[in-house]
Amino acid sequence: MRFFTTVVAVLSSVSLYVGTTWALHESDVGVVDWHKHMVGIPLSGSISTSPSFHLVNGKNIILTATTNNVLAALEPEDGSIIWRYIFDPEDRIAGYYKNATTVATLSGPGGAILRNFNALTGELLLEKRLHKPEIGALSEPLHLGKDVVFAPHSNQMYVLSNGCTISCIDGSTGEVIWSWTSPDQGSMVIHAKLTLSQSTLFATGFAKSTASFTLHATSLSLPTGELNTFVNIPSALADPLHQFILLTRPDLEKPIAIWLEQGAFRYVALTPDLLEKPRSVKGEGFARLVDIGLSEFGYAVVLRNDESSFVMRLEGMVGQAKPVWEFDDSKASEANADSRYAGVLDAHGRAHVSRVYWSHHHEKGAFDVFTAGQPHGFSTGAKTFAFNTKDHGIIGHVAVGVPDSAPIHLITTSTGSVQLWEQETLKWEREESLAAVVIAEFVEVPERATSVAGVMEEAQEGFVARVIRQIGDAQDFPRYLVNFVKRFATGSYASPSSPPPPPPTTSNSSEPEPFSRDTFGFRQLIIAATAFGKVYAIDSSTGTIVWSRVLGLGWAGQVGGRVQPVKVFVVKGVSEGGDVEVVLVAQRRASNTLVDTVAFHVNALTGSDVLGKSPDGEVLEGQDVIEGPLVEGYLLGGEKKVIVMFDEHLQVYLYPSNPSTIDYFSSVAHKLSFPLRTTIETRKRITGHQIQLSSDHHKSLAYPTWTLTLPLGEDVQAMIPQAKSGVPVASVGKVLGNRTTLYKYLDERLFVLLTVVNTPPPPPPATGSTPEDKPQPKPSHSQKCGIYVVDGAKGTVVYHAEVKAPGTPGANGKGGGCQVKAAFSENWLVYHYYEDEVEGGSVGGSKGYRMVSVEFYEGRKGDEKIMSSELTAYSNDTLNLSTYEQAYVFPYAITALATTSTKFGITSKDLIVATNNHRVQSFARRMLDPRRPNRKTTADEQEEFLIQYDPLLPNDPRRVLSHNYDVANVQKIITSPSLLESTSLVFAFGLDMFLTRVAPSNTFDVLSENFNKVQLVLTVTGLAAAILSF
Amino acid sequence: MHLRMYCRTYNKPVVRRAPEFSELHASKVMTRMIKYPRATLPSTIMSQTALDYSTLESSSKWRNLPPPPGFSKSSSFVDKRVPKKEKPAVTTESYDALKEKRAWDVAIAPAKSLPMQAFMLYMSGSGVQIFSIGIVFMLLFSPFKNIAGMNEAFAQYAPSKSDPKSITTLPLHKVVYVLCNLLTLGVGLWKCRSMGLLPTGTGDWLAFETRGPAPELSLF
Repeated sequence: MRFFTTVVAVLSSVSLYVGTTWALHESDVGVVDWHKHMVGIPLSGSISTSPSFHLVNGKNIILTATTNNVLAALEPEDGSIIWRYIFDPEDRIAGYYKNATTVATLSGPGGAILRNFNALTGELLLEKRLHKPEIGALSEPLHLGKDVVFAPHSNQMYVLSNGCTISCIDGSTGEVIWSWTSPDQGSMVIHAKLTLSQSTLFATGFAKSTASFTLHATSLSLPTGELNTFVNIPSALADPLHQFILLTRPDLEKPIAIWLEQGAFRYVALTPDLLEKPRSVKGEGFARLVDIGLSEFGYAVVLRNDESSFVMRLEGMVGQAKPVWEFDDSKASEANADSRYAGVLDAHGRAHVSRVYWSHHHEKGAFDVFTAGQPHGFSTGAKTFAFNTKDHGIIGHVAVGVPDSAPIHLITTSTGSVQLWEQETLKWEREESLAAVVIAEFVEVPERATSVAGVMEEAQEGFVARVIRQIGDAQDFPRYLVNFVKRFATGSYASPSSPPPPPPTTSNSSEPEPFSRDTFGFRQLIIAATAFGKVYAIDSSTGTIVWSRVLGLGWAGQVGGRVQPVKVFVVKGVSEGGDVEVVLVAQRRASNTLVDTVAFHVNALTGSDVLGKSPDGEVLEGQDVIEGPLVEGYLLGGEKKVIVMFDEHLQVYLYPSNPSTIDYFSSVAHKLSFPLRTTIETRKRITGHQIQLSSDHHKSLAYPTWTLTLPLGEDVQAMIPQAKSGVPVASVGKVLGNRTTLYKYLDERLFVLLTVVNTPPPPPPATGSTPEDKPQPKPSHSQKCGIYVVDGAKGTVVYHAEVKAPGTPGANGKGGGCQVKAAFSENWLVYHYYEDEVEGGSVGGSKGYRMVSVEFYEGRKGDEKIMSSELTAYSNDTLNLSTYEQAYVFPYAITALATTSTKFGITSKDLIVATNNHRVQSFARRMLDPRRPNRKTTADEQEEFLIQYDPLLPNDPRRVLSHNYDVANVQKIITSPSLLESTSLVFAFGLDMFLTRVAPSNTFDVLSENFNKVQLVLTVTGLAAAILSF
Repeated sequence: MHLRMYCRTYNKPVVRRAPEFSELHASKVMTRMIKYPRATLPSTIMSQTALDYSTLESSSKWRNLPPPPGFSKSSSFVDKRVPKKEKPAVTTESYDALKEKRAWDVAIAPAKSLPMQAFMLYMSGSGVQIFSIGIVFMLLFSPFKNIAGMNEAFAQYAPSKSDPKSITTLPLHKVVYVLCNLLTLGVGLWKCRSMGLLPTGTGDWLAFETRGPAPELSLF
């Protein structure tokens, strides 16, 4: 017996030592979080920004500029990002220009900044400002008036910027060797294209003349940049962007400019003296010249009026262009949609030109690749590939690459999907429209059991039926018991930091199991709607796309248009049983300028149309709700969830509109109010509205009840609602160290109003006595940013602050204006701004970012109670509140901020911030407590865990949630409670997507990872055995 | 002093019957009592053994019982009545005075122990720990325990002519006793307060506060 107890003691002590290993935080990386790197949807408008294959030192890469202002290099093998360069928002990328090993870009107004990158690594080799951004000429399209050509045998590049300036720049040092600016900047000439010949640099452009454009050519001496001559070539181009091309060939001396004039070809050879006369070619009926990226090798595609097309090649001897290949069946027809053309030069120097189109007849995509050769080349003939137009919209742009003998096509679709097709097979695809998510919403999903068993049936069954069912269920009890014992002994519980369980597998292939949550509610759905007419459901635990639907255009499908998502509402949540339903309210802008409001009502778990109009797999068609634009749409919660929408005349529309929702709306309508921004006689106002129920068949109307008139020159920038999302307020007050209570000023109607105050510059002194050398105050410094907290039912201004706006817009490349970011939750307002130099201010003139934390409490001191949350907006007590605020120096510029939210609101709220240096970081609420004393803390304050005020917020790198991921350009952060009170889900989206969990007060409601279940069981059984055996 | 057993239920019958059984042995009294028709003896009778000062008095019902065998005074059985005739008056008064003095001691005993308890409180510190909590619990519970057992505590000091169990016996002492116990309780509460254990502030009741829905709703 003694032996036995010794064994037990040894066992338990051994398990004690083995068990106490610390869980590393690093082990959570990739388990509790995920991120998606995105580059954005390729800009396919021009050849200088659209995707192209590029061969660098024998390696094929895909280069593209995107709508998210990113220059990216993708791996053709698997679609991964080799590198990307993110441009600042005010530094729009105008185009990229390839060299053998480098890629140059022009960006900013008028192409103000030249950069040069290593094509394989993305290393920035050169960054050079060519001119001040202020003098940059704006051009439409953006790429017009910018060009870069590389000198063939030296490191120099010739850069055309601003449409009029040509510079020769040393590629390694950035030194400007020479620069030439068009003398007649004021004239209507815009230079568009640079071409090199032996000793001459040609710049071709367009001069605006009446009704059309005239071709303009300039010839510069290559070594010195001296102007040889310039000439207006007699021509009349109707559409210079699509009817003009400049073809060269490395082996030919003279570049040829080709254009279409009234459907006929004309061309001119460019010589240093520009004396050649334009000539015509026989034949007419030509519509467009398509630059396929092979103009330097003498190839282009020509479209006739009937859309039939052929490949044209510059022929050396004659000095003119000739058709070399006619694409079969390329005429516009009912069977085929419009064709896209792309060209590429393969490793052997052979040109390939591809035509890709959608075949209505086959319901498939089709391609036809022409390979140049002797005497004319050959084509693959039309081959089809299984492009899914119902999931990805239409083919918007095509790039072709020939890494080996077989051509590969990179297709950009209208919904923002980037796909690589190798012959007929899809190699990879990137859903780049996720970089253009406009709105996203967390949606809780039901448990597996409840989603399978009909909850409704159980609610309706009678007593007898229930007893019978439960007796029937009781036969599972032994199995349950065995499972319970097994689980108890082995301790294999779901752990919050274990990898997410695999999604429910399809047991029978015919019916996929619906999406269900995990134990802790970390698996939710993120419904994300993009600006490109597609809605996605993303699994929040892994980041995989559960389903996606293309938003249909309805009647506007005939004329074209786009769907702009406005809001997403969860109209049927988990608690109501059955399937979870969401409604996406969107505005459909048809190409004929008609705007309608459409509601897309889908099952959040499967993406199927609740209205049953469009079957799964098809384009999702919505229901037209308002024949006109939407002014605002809100979700009216409570016993029924109704979407209340207002049109331009403030008429009320309900969705869903049925007698029960109308009754419910009528019963609460007298309580409702909402603010809108209005302009009356150039004065900006916020106007509150209430709803007048109509007694007859007319629609109910909203009428104005209050206005908040802003001072002259003050403009509304944003209205930010309270972060509610159904999270209850756990405590109505804050207990101080002396046991008194500060009652929180809780008013659900409060919202934050951000304004820009443009104070007009002070009028110049009337007397002429002011000496002119006296420095005038800069008018830019009179700009301020206003922050208001306003009650939505009466317009009471609860809080108002004015902060200085950063200096002149664009002076330092950083945009001026107000970039105040604010979040408001319960009684806590937090905002972030840039504090510029203060003239005579008390801040001491220190520049930097500030984070201000403001808290509102009832009464003037502790224990004063006005019951603010149930107080009517018209009470005299609404302004009986005290405001505590403190400003902190913040280390970063930020792009978004949000507070965490938990299921019961007990856990403290942390601040989640997306910084400009591509991180997502959390800041503890304790640090942002505005009651932090300015002196040594007293005993009472210590009891509250208040820390002495320190202007600098501690920037703890351990609080960086995004680890070492690059989470770039976050536009918005949303948070959602999980089933664990301690834990909140944080989702940041913008260019990249990032999701993680945070536990602001640590995971107090789960056993820690190093809790040793085995040890506990062993000890207990050992002790029990020891007791029993004695 | 005689060690005797008594029971409230049997007091009166025994007193009435005592002269008849004066020569009997105590154990025989017990047998008679058992046989007494109205009696149903509770089982706890043996456990309620107490030191009964009232036996010292001349009027006591136990006065005439013979001393137990071997007790020194029992040898002068014959002439015991002669000295006892004059002595009882003197002994009763002195006994009463003695008892009163003892009763005062008991009454102010809680107050006397206060300095010691205060010292213990001081030593235990203001933190909420096992020692301070133990002491505070003792301070909080002992007054109630004492007051509940007050009549029993004072019964033995009751003057000869009064009912030892009555609340009105020794009223002044009892009042002082209660006050002293309240003092102890007060010290305990003061300690609780200094440790922050008394729910006196609004903050302690915050969790029970509820708020109704707002009369107006903002859709925004």
